[in-house]
Amino acid sequence: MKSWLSFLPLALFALLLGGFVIALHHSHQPKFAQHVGDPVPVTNLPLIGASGANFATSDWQGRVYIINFFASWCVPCRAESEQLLHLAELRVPMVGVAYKDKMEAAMRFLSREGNPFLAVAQDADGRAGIDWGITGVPETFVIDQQGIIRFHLVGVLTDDIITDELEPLLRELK
Amino acid sequence: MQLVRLTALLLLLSSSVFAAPLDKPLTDPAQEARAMAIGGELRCVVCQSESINDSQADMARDMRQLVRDKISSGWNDAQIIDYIRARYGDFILLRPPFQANTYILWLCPVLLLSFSGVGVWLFFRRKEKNL
Repeated sequence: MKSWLSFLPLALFALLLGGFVIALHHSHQPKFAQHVGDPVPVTNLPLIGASGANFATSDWQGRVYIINFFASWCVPCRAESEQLLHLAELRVPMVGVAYKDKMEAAMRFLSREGNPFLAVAQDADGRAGIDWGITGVPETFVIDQQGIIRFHLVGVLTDDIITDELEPLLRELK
Repeated sequence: MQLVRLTALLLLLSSSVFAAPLDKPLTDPAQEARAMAIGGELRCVVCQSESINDSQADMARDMRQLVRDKISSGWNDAQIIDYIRARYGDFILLRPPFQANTYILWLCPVLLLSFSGVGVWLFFRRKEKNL
């Protein structure tokens, strides 16, 4: 009877343990509801401050643009207002989507925090948010000329993310 | 008796004051039952170990309402689940689908039990042989 066989259960356990440790480590980067590579969800929302006009993804086909879901009631959204203004300096058009927010509250929020957006759309019932697969606010997307989502950030935008990920991407897309 | 009435009233009022917008259940009980059945299969994206039925999150409530709206529009269960799955991916399903990338997940318990079973059987067989 080979004695090394008795180590087999232990070896299997060590393998499993290793597997779990690796999997748990990866789970810190949530892959859940990550939309990079997906086509932009067809969206048509009323624009705030331009009565009658709409934001439609179909109108933006062929252009590179940034979408940022925010809300006046969203505390972390305030933490990224400065970063959004930095992002605006890159001269890529930015469209804000006020998620489940009142028009007046959203505009008041932007006048207080600074408005980086070319246009602000209103997603009053949150259905557009669901179409985009968001899990909360803020979330930021970059869409390329082919209408594909090339960047998707869940959470607050930081200067590091702008420098390390967005600037290279936007340069590449132009 | 007055005290009991007053207490009851106060208890009733206190619980509803801070409620978020409430669910609007479908009037047809069969449809509402379908909504709850579907809701039980969907993961809340905020509180990810809960179904959208159980979660208090606003997002969960929105999803429940979305399910109801689609049922009212005449969608069948598969269409509704596919709609949400297209937007949130496989992880939105509380029960992982049985497909190529989850075979190991689903079969692991059965396989492990089988191997252990075989192992135990071999162990006792060897013991018998040695007697």
